[in-house]
Amino acid sequence: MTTAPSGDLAISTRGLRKTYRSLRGRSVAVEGLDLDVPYGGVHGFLGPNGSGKTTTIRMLLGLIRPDSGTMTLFGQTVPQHLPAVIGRVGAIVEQPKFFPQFSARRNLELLAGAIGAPPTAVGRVLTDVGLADRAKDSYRSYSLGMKQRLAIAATLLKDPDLLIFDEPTNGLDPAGIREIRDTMRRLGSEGKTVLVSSHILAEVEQVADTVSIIGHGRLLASGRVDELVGGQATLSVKVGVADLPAAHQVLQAAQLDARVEGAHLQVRGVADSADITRLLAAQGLYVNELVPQHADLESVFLELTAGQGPGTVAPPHGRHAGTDHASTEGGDL
Amino acid sequence: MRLLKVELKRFWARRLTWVAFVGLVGITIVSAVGTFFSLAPPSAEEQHYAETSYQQYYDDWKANSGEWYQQCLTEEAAEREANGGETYDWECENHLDEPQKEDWLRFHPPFSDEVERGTEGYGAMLGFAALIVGASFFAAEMATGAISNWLTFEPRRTRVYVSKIGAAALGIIPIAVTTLAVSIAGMWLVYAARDLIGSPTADMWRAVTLVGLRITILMAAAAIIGSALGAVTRHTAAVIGLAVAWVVIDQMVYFGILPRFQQWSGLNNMQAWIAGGTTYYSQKCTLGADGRVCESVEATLSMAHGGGYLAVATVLITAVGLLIFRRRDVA
Repeated sequence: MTTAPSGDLAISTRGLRKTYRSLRGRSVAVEGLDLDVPYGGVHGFLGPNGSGKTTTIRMLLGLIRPDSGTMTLFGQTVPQHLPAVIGRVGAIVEQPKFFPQFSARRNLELLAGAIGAPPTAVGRVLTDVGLADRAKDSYRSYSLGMKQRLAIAATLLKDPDLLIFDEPTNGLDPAGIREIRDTMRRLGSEGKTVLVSSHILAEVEQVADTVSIIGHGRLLASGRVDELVGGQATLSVKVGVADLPAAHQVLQAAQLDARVEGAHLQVRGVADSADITRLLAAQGLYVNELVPQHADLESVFLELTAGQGPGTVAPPHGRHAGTDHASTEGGDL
Repeated sequence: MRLLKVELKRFWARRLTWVAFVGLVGITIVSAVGTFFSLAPPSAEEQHYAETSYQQYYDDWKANSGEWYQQCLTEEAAEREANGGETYDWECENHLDEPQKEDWLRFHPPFSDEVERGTEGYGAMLGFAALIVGASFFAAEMATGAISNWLTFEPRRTRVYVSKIGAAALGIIPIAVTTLAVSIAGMWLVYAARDLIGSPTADMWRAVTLVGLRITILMAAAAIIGSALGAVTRHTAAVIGLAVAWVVIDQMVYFGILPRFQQWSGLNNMQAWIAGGTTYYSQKCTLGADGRVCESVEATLSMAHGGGYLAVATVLITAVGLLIFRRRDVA
């Protein structure tokens, strides 16, 4: 993967704010968001439902107006200078939207005509996404996977430096998901910047070099995936022992964060799982199950976003999601 | 220009454009066929009935016309006296005109007399069709969400807006010209087949051409208005509803509640523009010795007034549409 010199950002926002007003009242979608997406590579943009991801993307693309804050794309302030940089940006925002009655080819020809792309570009991108043999069929007849592929084809018409994919794998089968993942990885390795907003954390973890996690319209954490996973989440060990209450007492007496969860003990914050077996063995309690549970992006995400969106629950006690930022070597990100 | 070309391409690729095109031409052809049958010469039975009726009236006229004339004069004088010396002319001398047999047969004005009025008659229908085509052109893109995709390619909303309404206006012109040409040609063929061409003159053709030109301009304006409203409402059905509501309110306000302001009626102004001027009647009431007396007063609405009214309406609606489109959040 080629990268620009450290400090170069493809996307940057400061204090971004957007409130939706309706008859039912006001709803703050984005609240003072400071987002940085480094140039080159794949950047995951994660958050619970309603956290403001799509709203942020729409503001960056000039589709909706922010209430306050600043945004830049490739160093150019947007939306004022959006026409100057839009040729370098390809985007899919939520579901693909084309003219249902027109064929795929005609839809792309119209878009290509709008930007003055050569006529050969349409055939090229259709071949790239594997839709060349269905190019004459109406968009209405396409499956969801084909629609997503056509949307990707449209983004490639401009040969952009920045691609923004908002939930690109929605509705796709495993083969389609893999294809999208490979495409994003390939684009990232070609030096392009890919911003992917997705709920499928496992997919993002596989392709993303860096991530930003937001909740309630605010940045909760950002940085390299490996650093976030290593720095934010704690090692947890699942312990099986015959005398659960006694073992619980022993571990708590040793100042370990141990909780009874069903038929097991969950011990957090332990540096070495061997410490658990030593402590219990010293009291005549022997472990029959010891499963270290390594942190992953999902656990980091859930920990940070607990109580930050619909379907998420704040932990009753212990750490809450804050505005911690993972630091990376040599960079603001 | 590039955007305009792309939009024109999209305009002509739309199914509704071709449905409207074929439909309008079809209507003019059907109308021509109906006119052909209506111009049929009278049947033997109709001829006989007409002659019989004429003869009966002629005999009655010959015997009694003098009496009818005197009676008319007497009644006219009586009314003049009742109204304090004023009354309208009863034209009693008409009773002395000898009746003509042709008065009892259907009279078909020749092509040279009918073509201008016949062409004017298409104006409202074509204008409404252009409104719907223009509305659908913009509204469909808003309703499907394709506009958000479009704006990620061309984010300058003013250019996008102007290109769309411009394409609607330019795209409707071939439809207007073709429909009107088919209409006039159809009338010519029909009247020629019935040997009713009359005496077409250069002035007649000039007048018809100008009517066609004004209808074409009306259609372009309607397409622009339709597009602007389509951008605002995002649904073609909503634009149709607005158009119907406008007609109803126009009729209620200017022909019911405020008839003395008919010069501001949209329908009157549209007619004035199409026909090169129009007349309308309003009531003028005065308080006299016998109470309130009202009389119908004829007024004229010029073509310039109609054209100016339509131009101002088009500009205003287009400007409002642009303001809303520029500021609106696009989901």
